[in-house]
Amino acid sequence: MDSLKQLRKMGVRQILLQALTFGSVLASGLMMWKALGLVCNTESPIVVVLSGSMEPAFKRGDLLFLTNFPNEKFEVGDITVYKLPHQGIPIVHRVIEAHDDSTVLDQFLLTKGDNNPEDDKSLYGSRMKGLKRSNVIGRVKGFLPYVGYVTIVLNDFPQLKYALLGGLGLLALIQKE
Amino acid sequence: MHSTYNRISTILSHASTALMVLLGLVAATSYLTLPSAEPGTVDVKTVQVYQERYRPNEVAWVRFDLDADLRSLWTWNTKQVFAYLVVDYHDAPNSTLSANEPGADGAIVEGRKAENSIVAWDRIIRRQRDGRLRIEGGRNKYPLKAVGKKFFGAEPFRARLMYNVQPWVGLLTYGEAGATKNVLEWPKAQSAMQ
Repeated sequence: MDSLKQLRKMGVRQILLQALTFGSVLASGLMMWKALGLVCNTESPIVVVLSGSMEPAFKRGDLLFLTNFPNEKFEVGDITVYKLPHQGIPIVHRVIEAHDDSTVLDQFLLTKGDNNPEDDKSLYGSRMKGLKRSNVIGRVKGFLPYVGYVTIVLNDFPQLKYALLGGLGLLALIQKE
Repeated sequence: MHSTYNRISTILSHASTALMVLLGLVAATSYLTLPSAEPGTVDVKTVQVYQERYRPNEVAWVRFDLDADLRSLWTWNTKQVFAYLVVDYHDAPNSTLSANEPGADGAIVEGRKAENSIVAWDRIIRRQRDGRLRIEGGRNKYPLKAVGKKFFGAEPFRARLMYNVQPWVGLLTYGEAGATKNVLEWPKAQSAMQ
């Protein structure tokens, strides 16, 4: 009730101004994300680990920082994040075979999760015999533990996500400088 | 102005900024003071090539000796070390692709010169005291499959021991801890596999 009263006191102009501030915060966040993507040359420069297939190196909820520079070849031992055409979720696995071809400037990669007993041939399906560069989103360069767990929790409990978003939005509207 | 909400949000934002700066400093200092491993020895004892049954491809098995000390790689920001043995080889000059050739969209031509690297063996080392690698007569964990149909006639190959240091926070780093000294040749395939 208190906050509602406050809201009425602020007037339309004030509310619009707050909304503008809130919008510009969102926009600058998106800008930074896209700029980072441009610098690192990858569609998603930061990813959250969703599975335990790379344990003990990466656990669920760890943040990974990726780059994908066109003049850098992938080498065995590199940890790549790739997306298969028939699968929406990006996968974080290590390259265990790299076959370079000088005539077509492409690479064929075979990956395997450190924690998996088998390589990823069965994941690729019968039509794909190996990963190509175009399947790979990037290679893991940096590591930050735990931080991404927030997004996993928010995805597992969507109500929490909406409550948080709504709460933040309301606070941003109500709060006076 | 000085409501409880304001105080809490200020404290939280200050604390998270401080934490991020601290983690950045940890990552930077551990990257700048990166240790390296002393070169060890890698020896490939035997190489056996088999013809796969019902398929035109060849598979190779190697026996190797490893002697390396990776304990120097442990600092206070080392979570684990991934050690792996890589076999590098070129395709035979006139080998044709079969198994790994992609379907319609792969424009790989015959007579190509491809470089191949395959991980033959790996180990995840989580404690410093396990960092002393001494392996005699080790066998490759993963079969070495010829990308062309055959290894025979391919150029000599070499094997090298590599490591990947995974920090608690910061940049992943790579290094080499030894390679084979002698040049290794692929032998002729033995008829049936296993």
